[in-house]
Amino acid sequence: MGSYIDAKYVYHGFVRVPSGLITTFDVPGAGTGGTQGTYAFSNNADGAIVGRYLDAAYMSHGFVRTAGVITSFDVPGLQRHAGL
Amino acid sequence: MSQAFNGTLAYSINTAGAIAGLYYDLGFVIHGFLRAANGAITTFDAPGAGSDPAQGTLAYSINAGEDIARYYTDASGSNHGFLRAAAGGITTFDAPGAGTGAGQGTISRSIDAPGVTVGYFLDSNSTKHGFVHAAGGAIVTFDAPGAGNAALQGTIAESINRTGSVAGVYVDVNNVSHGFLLTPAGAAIRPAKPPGVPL
Repeated sequence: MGSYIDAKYVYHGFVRVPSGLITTFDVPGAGTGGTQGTYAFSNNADGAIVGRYLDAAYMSHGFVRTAGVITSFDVPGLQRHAGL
Repeated sequence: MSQAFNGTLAYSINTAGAIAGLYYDLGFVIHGFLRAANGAITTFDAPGAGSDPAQGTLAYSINAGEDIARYYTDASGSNHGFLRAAAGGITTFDAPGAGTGAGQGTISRSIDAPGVTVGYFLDSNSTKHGFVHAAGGAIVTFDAPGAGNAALQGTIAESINRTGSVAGVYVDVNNVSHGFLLTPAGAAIRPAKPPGVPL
């Protein structure tokens, strides 16, 4: 698993299974500007993937992708704040 | 094209579905969090963590027992390792020989199931050396053969597996990066050198 950067510098997640099949994914709400998008950081033995995504305002959110289902979350109390 | 941002970053997940990560608050101070498999989030700060922008507690790695490791940056910008037990208690540590200047110090990278952490430290010359921090607290430092000893050269231990093998990278005197594998036997390693000691 990991991330790739497209021609517009947008990040997307991917997972490659042992057979070689690659599935790409984007977290709903991920931005489509430069350096925005989905960053996959690590996975566990069951194939669940965690990471973060940057939305269109460069706010970062956590996500977990389990069996293809993506759940996003934020630490409570954080207010939306555009990046510098 | 890098952007400053704040918000939540999830860095690792264990087999039970517990997640460790960090978040930047509105002042860009960094704090750690644990998200349990049921979605409940607990935030925490290592004792001594700084409260200026880009300082704070960087939680990245979680093991099967929900111990969390990485490092924190203090008010002077120096780094220190920490281990947060599943019950919530936090232990901090510094590798022997770690520098105390801004950007120097101890940086844990990962933790295995028994609670052994690995990482690296920057000495007073900002040269990097690997370490293994046993669950009982003992710290062994080492340099990969061929690692350089100039600032930002040296050895970085990245991860440890269930058999105790450590993988990492080292940067040689020509600033070229190489991989290394440290087996439990440790035959290929040498103790970390103090600053100024030639190769």
